[in-house]
Amino acid sequence: MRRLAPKGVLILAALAMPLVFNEAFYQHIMIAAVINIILAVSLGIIVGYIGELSLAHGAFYGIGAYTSALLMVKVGLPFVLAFPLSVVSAGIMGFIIGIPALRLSGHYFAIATLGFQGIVVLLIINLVDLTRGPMGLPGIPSPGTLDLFGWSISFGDKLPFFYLAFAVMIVVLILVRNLLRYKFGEAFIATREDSLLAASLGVQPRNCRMLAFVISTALAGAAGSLYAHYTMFISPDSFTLSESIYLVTMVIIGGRGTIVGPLIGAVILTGLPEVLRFAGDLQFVIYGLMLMMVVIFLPKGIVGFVDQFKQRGAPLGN
Amino acid sequence: MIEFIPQLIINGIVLGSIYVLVALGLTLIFGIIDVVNFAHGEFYMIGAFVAFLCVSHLGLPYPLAIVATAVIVGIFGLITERVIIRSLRRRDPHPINYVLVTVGLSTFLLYGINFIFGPDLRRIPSPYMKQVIHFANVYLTTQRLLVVLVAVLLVALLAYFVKYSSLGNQMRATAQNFTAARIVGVNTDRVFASTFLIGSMLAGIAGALVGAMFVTEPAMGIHIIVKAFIVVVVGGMGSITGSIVAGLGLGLLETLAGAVMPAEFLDIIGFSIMILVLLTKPTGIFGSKGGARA
Repeated sequence: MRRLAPKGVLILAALAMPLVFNEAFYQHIMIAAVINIILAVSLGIIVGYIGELSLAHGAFYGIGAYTSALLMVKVGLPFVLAFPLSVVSAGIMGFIIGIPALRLSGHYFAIATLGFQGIVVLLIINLVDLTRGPMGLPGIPSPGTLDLFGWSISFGDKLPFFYLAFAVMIVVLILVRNLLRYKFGEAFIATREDSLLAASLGVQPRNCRMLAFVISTALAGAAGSLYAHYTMFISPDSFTLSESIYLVTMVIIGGRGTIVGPLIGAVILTGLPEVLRFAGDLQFVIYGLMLMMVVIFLPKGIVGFVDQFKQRGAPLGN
Repeated sequence: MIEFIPQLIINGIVLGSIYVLVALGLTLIFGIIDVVNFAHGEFYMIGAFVAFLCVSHLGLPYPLAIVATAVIVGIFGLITERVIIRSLRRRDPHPINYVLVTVGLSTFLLYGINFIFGPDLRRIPSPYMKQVIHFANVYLTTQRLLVVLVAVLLVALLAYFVKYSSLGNQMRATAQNFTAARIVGVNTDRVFASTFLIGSMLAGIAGALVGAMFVTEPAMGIHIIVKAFIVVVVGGMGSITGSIVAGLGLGLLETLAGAVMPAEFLDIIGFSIMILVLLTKPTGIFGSKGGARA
């Protein structure tokens, strides 16, 4: 109970945030932060636990967004069906792409995912009949309204949408935590550190890597669906290589190999553009610089940096 | 249709020469240092901007501007190796750290140049753009001829250097076995620095050539790096011969197939070929496990 208390306080504080800062502008940033947290935490499974750099996370985010949007716009499915289907379709794409890509590792995996990222964006741009190509897809409906004991909650408004996205985020965080802490985390790390040794201990590296990749890409699909129904307009520009790099930057700056790290990274990198608004385009220059500095000087990111301070007082464990 | 084919082949060779120049640096840096330099395209882009500034602001003649570009971008590559790659290498990190740090450098340079110069399209003023050579029914500007000549010259120089010079031998030794090279007294720090110097010079020169022929813009590095990856992967990471063959091959394929299908589908085909090669023969067509070879 005592261990749960700080988390509970944090969650309550986060829930109260959009009520305290109730201007539309702040609420918009909070929704963006929640979506980015889902993306960064899911990418963190691949980067932090499997130890491979995926440059295609933006593509899976896009696959989720387009699936969900098209299912609602063209097929007329309700959000409650379109959302899970977008998760499933991103996961299936992750599986299909994972079959070839996961046979590679290191530089080669990064280059292969770069190729997939390129292919997906080119397909979105060129399948004009389906996606309207570079013009983007407008008129995506919001998740609709929920009738609760006579209260009608419209998710087209920012506040209810924040709570919807927040609920999805909490489910994602619990899922990822359980995956990594109780069952597969150790196996993932074992394959990252030495896949041959892991195999000799009965861990199946290929299955482990595939599981991590499929879950990670499926969660990116969930974020994509939320994004599409929040902004109500999507275009290929939102799912390019620079988006993928931006997400990787979140994971690395926050601290790879943890769940909290990507979460912190996502919050910082969502808030930073607003702080750096005066700087205009210079903000991307700062991201690039931050990414380089963190990789060189703080390989474990902000979380590792904080841990170092904590351990300074404590006796060395090893 | 048939009568255009010689023209298309010439255009393909010009395009292929550019791919070769950029891919050679990438493949050398990979083969010898074991670093995939995601910022390599930005060296090329900076080359174009340096040449542009030399010609339009300092008033240097274009050929001299190319030489100045090679020197400046080369120094820039040296600094990159010294400041970023070397400090990372001291810690012997997981390979993805090199990818991350060069991705960061790429973002930093792309948006840095974009911030300073804006996203406008420029063109380096070159006297060779106005002279047109014409034989049979093939037309080409002297600029395009220059691209091919410079590429041939640099490739020949590089091949000679890697194969016969002392430093070139040390490079090949380092690529084959880093530890053994150190044991026999190769100064690997110097080898790594020279590799980065040569690689970035090649990219810079390519940028200076292309910036006069097409456009000079901050995003040009992103367009070329993707092609360079395709060339390097297909030709074999670390193989000089592979990059030359695959680079010319991609250039020819793009111009010939580009006559009958839209460019976007060509890119999809290019990516697909790259992924197919990664799967079936990750060392590429000419690659071997031993790194750089002439």
